[in-house]
Amino acid sequence: MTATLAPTTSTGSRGGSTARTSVGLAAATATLARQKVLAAVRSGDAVFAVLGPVVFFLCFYVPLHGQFERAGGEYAQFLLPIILLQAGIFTAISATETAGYDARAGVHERVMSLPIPRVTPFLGRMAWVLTRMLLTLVGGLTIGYSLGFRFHGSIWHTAAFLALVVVFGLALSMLTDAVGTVGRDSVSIASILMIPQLILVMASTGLVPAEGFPGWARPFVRNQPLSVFSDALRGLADGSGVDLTAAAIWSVGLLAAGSAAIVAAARAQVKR
Amino acid sequence: MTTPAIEVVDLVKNYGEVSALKGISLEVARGEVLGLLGPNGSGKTTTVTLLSTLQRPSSGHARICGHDVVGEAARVRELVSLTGQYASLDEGLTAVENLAVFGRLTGLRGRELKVRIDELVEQFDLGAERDRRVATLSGGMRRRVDIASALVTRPEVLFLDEPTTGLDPRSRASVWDTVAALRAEGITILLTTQYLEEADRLADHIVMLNRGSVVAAGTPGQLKQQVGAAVCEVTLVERGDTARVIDLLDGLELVEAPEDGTASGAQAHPRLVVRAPDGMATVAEVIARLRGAGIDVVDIGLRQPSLDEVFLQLTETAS
Amino acid sequence: MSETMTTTQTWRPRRSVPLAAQSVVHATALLRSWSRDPGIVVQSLVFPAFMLLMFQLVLGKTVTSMGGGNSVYGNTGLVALVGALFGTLATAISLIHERDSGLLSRMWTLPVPRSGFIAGRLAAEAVRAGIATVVLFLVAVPLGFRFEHGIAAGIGAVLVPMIFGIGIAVPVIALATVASGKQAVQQLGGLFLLLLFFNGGFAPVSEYPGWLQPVVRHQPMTPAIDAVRGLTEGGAIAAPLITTVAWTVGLIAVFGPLAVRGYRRAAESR
Repeated sequence: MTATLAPTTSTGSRGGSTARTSVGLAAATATLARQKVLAAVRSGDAVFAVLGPVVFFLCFYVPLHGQFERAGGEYAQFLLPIILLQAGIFTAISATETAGYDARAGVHERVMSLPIPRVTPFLGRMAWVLTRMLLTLVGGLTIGYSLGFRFHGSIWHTAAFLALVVVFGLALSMLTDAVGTVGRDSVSIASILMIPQLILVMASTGLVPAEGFPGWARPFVRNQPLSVFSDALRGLADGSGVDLTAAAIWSVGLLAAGSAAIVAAARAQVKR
Repeated sequence: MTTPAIEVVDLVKNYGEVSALKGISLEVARGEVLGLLGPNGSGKTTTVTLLSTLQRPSSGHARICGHDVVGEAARVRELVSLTGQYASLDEGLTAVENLAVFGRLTGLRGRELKVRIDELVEQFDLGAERDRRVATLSGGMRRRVDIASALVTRPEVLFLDEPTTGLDPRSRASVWDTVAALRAEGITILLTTQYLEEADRLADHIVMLNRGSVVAAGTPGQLKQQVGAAVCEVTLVERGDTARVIDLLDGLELVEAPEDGTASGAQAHPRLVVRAPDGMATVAEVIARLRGAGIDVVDIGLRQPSLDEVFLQLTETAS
Repeated sequence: MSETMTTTQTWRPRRSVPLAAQSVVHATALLRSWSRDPGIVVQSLVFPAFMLLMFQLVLGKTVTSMGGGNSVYGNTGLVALVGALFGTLATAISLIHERDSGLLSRMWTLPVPRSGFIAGRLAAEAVRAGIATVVLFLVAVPLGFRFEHGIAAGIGAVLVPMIFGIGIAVPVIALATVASGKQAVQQLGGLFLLLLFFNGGFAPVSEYPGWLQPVVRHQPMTPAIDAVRGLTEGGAIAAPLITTVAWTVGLIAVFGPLAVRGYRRAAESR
């Protein structure tokens, strides 16, 4: 890694050493990103990113599509959004562990002694998050298409669909990355985060329509963020006129919260 | 004649293609401390692994207090206790809980166990950290808990596998004290180490291993004589002085000298080494002779044989 | 540090310890370690409670509407067994960790019978599954869960996940001791996920495609869930219970030797 971060201008005289020059944000991020992505591929995370949504899709689809379709509807079309969102949550949860590992393993200290912008390691980790979300889309869309999911809208609707999934995963990962960086036991935090994941995924309109829930639960089910995003994604896939306001507000909110968290975590790290 | 505590005959251990032990033999009398000395990969740890019944030899045999390590493995386990360089403890348990586990699994229970644990806590100075999880302890502290765990009940033979590797000098000294105290109790100890000084200080006998074979055996005194005492090392300023200096040092045992007149790769400052049986007196003699002839030196000093030199010598004389 | 090794009493010599005592020591050490790991505590006790609540919420109404009976019994059984199932992965991770740290090797040189190591681990597994099931049953009570067949049957219902857990733990231990143990365990997690969704407790067997139905009907979780249902709500007890025990006995018979050999291999690797 340090080889590629060495100064690009070598003014070396015989026997003398060159001074370190600063490395640009793009170059440094590219290097760290490549390192993170390669590490993830080697550890099999890339395979999990593609196969995860496939497995979960099948796990929900096979037992539940019968009763859904008896009521008149296409379950693959209905189900895919929540599967993609769930994969986004899993990506965010694993981002916690990665950030925790980096913080603990002294990677932070080592990297901070290099002449690169401070935000670079974080960007490197987000590069893998981005890659993983794209792999998720590949896996999810493949299984979805093979079981009947279709994009019925315009190119813009489809683009917005893909962008929304990626933004969701990225924004959430920013939050969890911050938590993992400052938290003491990121593996336990990851275990604990599985509980809100469970609640948000299951108690949403993503798996089962709102009518399938008892009356007292419906207000929560209808308005919680995963339902909002699911409905938005469904609308975009169907190409119907869909009100994206709620989803847009949530997206902006998540991105803002994520950014604030990252800044706070960076400050906390400097203090340590 | 009493049975030796440890008896090893032509022990061989192969891991697939690799031969870790090529046929070693040694004997340790009861109550003795044997130092097994050698660099990494020499077969020290493999020897301990075989003697503690963890693995079986490829050929040859070994006996602990007369019991074969293969045929009577269960009996041998009642006699030996093992503590290794990685300080293997249950990370999730506290120091005291670890002592309790090892105590319970070696036959101690109830009130006796509790009293023994308190004794060990005091002996090994674990008081401050007794109820903290092992995962949070420092290296030196973990090693103390590790050794204490091996001694909750009394073994006949104790294997200390590189007990001071990676420790700070203070912790190392405290481990040495423990070994001395155990020896006073009559326990037979097999100690593996990379450090000549440690073996010298603690062992009654030393067996030196290299690449799976015994290259030397004897008391520390015998080995040092064999390998040679300290040496006096002289580094000259002028290359041209070399021949004259060799003449001047006539009468002293020259151990090493550069070939006179070699041009290629020649050192800028030639180095000569003479044996120094009288230590500083020899150095003073060398200085006097050189001074008298007006020879200038870059460096002159008294050097103890390092482990590398010991090995170099031994493998040279062997071939 | 004092110069002498003993002070107040004689220094007891090392002595062999029998199987039962040894297993208890191992089991308690494991349970103690696990109870101090927040991740494991959340995974075994807290997460299943939420899983039950969610399954009741999302799947409860629809299953009941199809006439499957009060689904809280089915869901509770399902979640209890899922807990036991995934719990074996924690056992595997502990084992791999102990092997890598050298603790396994050190333990192997103690004067104890060889079989006690696995026995202790399986005992710890069973106790953890038992505690988790009791906690889950308590959570299920406000949702309508009752011991309709009395206390004795209720205790039997707690035993079912314990028996199931022991059966599953044996092949898991065998797998964990191969070289690439960690990855093997992760992949096993994937298989367990499929078991969780493709059984007769998650949805009625008839909902699954024809060719999958025999698999769903006969995979080890389905009879176990039916046994728990029978012992708490009512219905067949003998058949599913015998099948559950048969699965465990079968798994031990087939994978037991592999697990024993694997454990030895893990202990001997230094």
